[in-house]
Amino acid sequence: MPYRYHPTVCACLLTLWTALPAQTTAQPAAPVMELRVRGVPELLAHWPNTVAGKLAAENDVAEAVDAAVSFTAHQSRRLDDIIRAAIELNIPVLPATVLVEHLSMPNPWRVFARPLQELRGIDLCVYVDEEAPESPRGLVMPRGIVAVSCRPRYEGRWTQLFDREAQLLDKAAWLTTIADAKVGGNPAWAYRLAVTEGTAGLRRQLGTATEQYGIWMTHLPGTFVYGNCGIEGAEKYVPDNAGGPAAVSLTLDVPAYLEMVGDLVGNALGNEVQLLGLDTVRQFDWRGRFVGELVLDEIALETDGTISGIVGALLGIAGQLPKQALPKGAMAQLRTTVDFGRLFDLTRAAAGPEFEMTAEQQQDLVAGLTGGIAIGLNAPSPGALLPRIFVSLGIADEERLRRVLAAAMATMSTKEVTYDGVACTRITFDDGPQGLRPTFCIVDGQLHVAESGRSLRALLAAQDGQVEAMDVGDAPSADGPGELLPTFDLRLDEAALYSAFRDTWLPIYEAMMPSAEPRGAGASAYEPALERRDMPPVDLIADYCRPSRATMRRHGNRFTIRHLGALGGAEVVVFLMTFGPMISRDMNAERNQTVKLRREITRRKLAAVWQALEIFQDNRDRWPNDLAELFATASLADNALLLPGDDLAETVDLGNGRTIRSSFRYYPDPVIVHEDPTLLIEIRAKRTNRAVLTDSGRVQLLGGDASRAPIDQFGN
Amino acid sequence: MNCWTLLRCCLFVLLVLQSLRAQEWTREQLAAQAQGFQSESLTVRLQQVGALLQHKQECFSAAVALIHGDHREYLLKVDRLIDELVDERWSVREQAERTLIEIGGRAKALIQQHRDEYDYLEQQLRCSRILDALAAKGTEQEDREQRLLRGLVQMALYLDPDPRLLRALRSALGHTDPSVVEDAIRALGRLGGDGEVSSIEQMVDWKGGMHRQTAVGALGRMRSDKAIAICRDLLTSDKLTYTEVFTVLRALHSRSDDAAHRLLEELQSHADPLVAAGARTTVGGESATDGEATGDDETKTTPAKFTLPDRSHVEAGFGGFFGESLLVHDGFEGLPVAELSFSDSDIIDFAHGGEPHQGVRVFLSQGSLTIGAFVSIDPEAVKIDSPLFGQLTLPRSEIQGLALNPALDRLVGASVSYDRVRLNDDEFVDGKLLSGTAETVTIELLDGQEREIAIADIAGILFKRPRMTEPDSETYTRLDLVTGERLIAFVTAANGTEIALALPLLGAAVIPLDQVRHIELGVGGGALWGFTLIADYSDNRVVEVDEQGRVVFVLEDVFGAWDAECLDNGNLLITEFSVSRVQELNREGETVWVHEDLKNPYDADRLDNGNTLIADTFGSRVVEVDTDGKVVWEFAEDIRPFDCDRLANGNTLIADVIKDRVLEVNVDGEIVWEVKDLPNVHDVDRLPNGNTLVTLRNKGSVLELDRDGNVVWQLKGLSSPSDADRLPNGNTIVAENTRVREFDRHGNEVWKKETSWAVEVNRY
Repeated sequence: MPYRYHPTVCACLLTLWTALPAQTTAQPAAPVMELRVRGVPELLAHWPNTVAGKLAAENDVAEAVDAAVSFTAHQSRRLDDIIRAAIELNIPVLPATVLVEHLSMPNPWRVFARPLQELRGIDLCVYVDEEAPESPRGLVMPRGIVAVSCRPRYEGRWTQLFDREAQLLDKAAWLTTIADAKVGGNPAWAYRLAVTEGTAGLRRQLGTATEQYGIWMTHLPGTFVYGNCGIEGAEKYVPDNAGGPAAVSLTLDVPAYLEMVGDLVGNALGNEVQLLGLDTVRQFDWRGRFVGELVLDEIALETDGTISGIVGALLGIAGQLPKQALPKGAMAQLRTTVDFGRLFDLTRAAAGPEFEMTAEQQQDLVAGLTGGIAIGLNAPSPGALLPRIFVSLGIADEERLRRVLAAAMATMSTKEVTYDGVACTRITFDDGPQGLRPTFCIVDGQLHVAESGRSLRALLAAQDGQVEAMDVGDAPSADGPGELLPTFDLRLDEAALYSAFRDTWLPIYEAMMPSAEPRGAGASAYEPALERRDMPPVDLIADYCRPSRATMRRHGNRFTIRHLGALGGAEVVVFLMTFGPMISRDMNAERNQTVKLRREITRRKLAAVWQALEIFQDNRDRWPNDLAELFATASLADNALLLPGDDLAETVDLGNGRTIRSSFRYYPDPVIVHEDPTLLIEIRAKRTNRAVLTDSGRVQLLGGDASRAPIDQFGN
Repeated sequence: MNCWTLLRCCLFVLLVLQSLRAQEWTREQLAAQAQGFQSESLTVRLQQVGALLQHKQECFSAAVALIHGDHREYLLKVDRLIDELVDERWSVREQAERTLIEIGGRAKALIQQHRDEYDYLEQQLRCSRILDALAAKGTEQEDREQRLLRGLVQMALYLDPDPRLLRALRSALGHTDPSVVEDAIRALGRLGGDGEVSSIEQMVDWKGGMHRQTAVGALGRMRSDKAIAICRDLLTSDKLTYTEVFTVLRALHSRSDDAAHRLLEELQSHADPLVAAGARTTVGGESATDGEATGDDETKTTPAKFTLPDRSHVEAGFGGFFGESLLVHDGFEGLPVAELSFSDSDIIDFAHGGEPHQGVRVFLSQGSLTIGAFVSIDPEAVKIDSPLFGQLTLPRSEIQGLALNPALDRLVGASVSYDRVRLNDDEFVDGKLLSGTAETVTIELLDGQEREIAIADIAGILFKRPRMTEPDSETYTRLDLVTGERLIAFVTAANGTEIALALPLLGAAVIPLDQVRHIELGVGGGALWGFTLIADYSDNRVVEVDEQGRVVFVLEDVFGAWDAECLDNGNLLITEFSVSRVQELNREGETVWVHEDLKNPYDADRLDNGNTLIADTFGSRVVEVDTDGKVVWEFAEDIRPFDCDRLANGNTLIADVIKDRVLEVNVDGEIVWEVKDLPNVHDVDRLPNGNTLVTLRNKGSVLELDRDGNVVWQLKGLSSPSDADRLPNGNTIVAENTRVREFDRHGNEVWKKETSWAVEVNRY
């Protein structure tokens, strides 16, 4: 499944992953992006005292966490097997791919596959150097450095693993080991693509900067550092991993980051950046840490002193927040103020002639609204898919607002309805999704809009004049430096959000996803770590996760949203609940390089076995009766038919006490698959690319039904 | 009988002969029937020998034909080409390299040998290149043929003498594969007569004597007057080492013929008492096997466990020694009695138990440990009554020390300056030991006063330790007895129930095998100093093991254990890299002294003055701190020291990783000696001969450098070595990733202990 299905959650990950392949520079540079996990021992010590820790100790949650962790560990082993096979079969792999996907530490997910109590911290930094040579496609690629530090007790064991990784890479004929490499005077292991016939394709891909597409690794006290650039001057990129508060944080140097992304996508980000107002933003920070028994989630933007664009429209106006009491089942609510004048100007400038609102209408609209806006989200109605959406806007000049609304409705299909004595207007779209019937009304100086008439009716019923916003009980507000901005109020009910996810959206998502591959083996592409049935019950979550709220403060040029909740802010909650059933599915889907590598390994293995089969056939004028007969007469390694990380492989008894494992089932009387008599069929059913070996020695990758069919269906 | 009948008889005979002839295997059939020789496993190969012996008639001709070849000419050609690799003309060198690549796998063993033991660097480089080329080219077929030949020559040992076979074996003496030559010599030793003696005699000095021991053993075994004459000449001259002498003696003792007996009788009056004792001392009054490996049901054997080269074990009957062979009964299918060379099985264990002897334990510098009743000490000697050897007068200079208290399980803390008496309360009394009786000892203290100490108060005595010991190049057999004694001895004879020994200093003895727990062949001499302390970095612990590799002490929770030294008082000085700490701990794990003003140190040594020298690695300095932790000396000039040692001259030797060098600095911090280009140098030691031993982790090697930085000796192919020490016996012990190994001067592994990741090892 492509990442676009959940962009919010995965954007950060995607950026990290795409940023890692890098190229060397001669100049030191500050990191463009830093993802830091610091003070893991302190975080773990605090963990049992937190609401999240107590929740995680519950059996249902603990089982789900264990399943996710073992899933990650399994992924690591599978990738290890693949790189081992590539080395054994002499199949070249890009050094950066080795670093990111196969070494145990650089890939953050693989770090978490190890016991967490061994970890002290992780730094993942991305640097850009303008003087770096360009790739053949004219891109200046960023470089990635990962520093993983462990607790003293485990340093020896980690060093041994580190040493084994280096020894493994030393065996790769397609990598050249750079002799006596050093980083900052410390011994290092450094590699680059070997100049051999076998690596010609990869070298062409990398162009003239091949030598600088190396990887290196070094062990500093308590820390293991990996880099994907030339070894020369590498010490300039070793991050300071000394300490810092116990927290998880992400920092972006926004101008540099935007420039980097612009380069990566092949053109500079110009208008979009200005439209968004990011051109005046200097730094973005995200940080999560424990405060008491809760998680404090902080998101900060630091500007250069001016604010512009959409960001400016959101931050740059004072005003009163509208009242919006939400019906039962509220998941989240944001109340803030918006500079509609600036927003519409920006939109007009961006959309050009396609912006249909006239200048007069825009003036009326801006004058008609106070700028205060409240957006509420409730769980979908029973049987519905869309959440219930409520928007309430403060009205400054009702007449001018009605004029604009009337003009707008003139071009739409509408219906006037009355709910509990309130006149409302319902809009219908011919091609809109079922259940989306935006309905609005004006009551008590506010314009209320909902995604359906039913929701608007519920919203109106909830407004009793006393309650101003979503009910979060006595949820605490986070303190912090700077002036509290009254124009921002974010509220969240984690349990309600989880309930909607688990019971409404996840079943639909699972029904949409391909499920042809057998689950449980842990190695199928697109298999999630958890299914809905593995997810903890809603009641249990509700017992621990109370509604929470976030506030915004301004400290100099820095705007910080602080959210104090059982699990942190909304983005953390979304990440946690989607990781098992959704994100892990994408993690499991192998990246293109790995898919290619796996295919090549399959081809080579089958080609070698074919040679033995052919000799047997030539000598005896028949195929072997079984694999035991083939292996008895041919010099085949025990893993000749075993694909990397294949836990569906069958054990075959060869006699004489020798057993092998085979990822293929053998048919001495070739079975017909896609009209070809076939000797070996990969046991694992797949959506596509199931490998078979025909009796003419052809390796075929199947698609369609033959690829998805259970192995027992063949030969019957 | 009429003509018709005669014709029918002749025809019948012809048919029989024809049918017999038809049963002889072709070369291909033999190869097909001898697949077991392709195995790496000695057991499988010997079982293959047994299987082929069931078809002696069928396979004989084909086997002889395969063994016979133009091996010697071939060998000469390969030798010439290898010499040409360093010819002064470049074109000749190039041509020789190309030709050797063309020759291929048959020359591989010889090329490997020249790669590992080279005279010129270019020779080594070219040999490496040739081997790479051969590996790339693939030598599978040649390798298979070579393994087949090796197996057939091994089988020849069990065949009957036959002129064709003897000719073939003589030709095999010229083969390029040393293991084929070894087996051919052994087979000729058993089967050959006068006609083969000169060929075997040649092998004594062939190629620098690489087959010398096997050849002299074969000469001792040959039923030939000429061979006996050569043996007499060798044994009465100084041409043989003790190891070789006893190889011949073992062969002679195994024979029952008059010629052998006469020679042994002559040797009993040999000028060298050890040789005379060897000639005199034998088992059971008669030879163990009468010169033949027999499968006689009446042959007495002792159940034993034999360790094979692949570290697998065979449970079988021990039938004794036989020159350079040991006899294994009923250990391999098809072979009632197998003759294994010493290198085929160098460890034999017996399941015998018994009460240890009571008395004083005497640790000899020669390596033996004997037990007896303490009689006296004088300035020159120690006298004890040994149940095994009778009354012994042992020179003090040959003794490491005495353990009087049974609870004292290790001798630790010997000084190179004075004798030390360790009391039962662990206090040391230092000085010159003057005399001793069964009740007291008298010691002249360092201040000149004399002190008398009751024997009952003494745990042990450590005699002044030599600053350096002469390497002992002899090869011994080690026996661990149920009495608790350890004998490093020469075996003169052994049968299935007894073993006869001759030992330097101790004399001779015949020991019933039921008194023996463990036999180890081919061990080096010299004191082992008992225990090996290993810092296991990845397991966060320090372990102490005895010579059997048994763990006798463990210190857990040592965080990043990079160095562990045993101090004179038995305490341990531990360097913890991961928590930046050096501390002295007693054996209960209690901290006696600690220094923490450090940044990830790698090494620490306690100096004679009581201070501690520390390689403060990531503090980029070497410091000497006193007992209060005060820095009294420092060297911090652009270094990242992984190791440091204070030398006898007061200078400090440092392994510096930042500049890939080892350097010696004086007390003023001036560099007085330096060798560069030593990448990732983890350890450096100054040897008694003035050379320097360095350990290069990334290169997987240990080098011995002379004062000019030339490599005079090296170990290669090690797994991430971090530390290496030269032992008093001349061997080198190395801490590697996953193990500690001890190597002799020839690079042979003689001791091994598996660990998670050994980074430091010390033997004492």
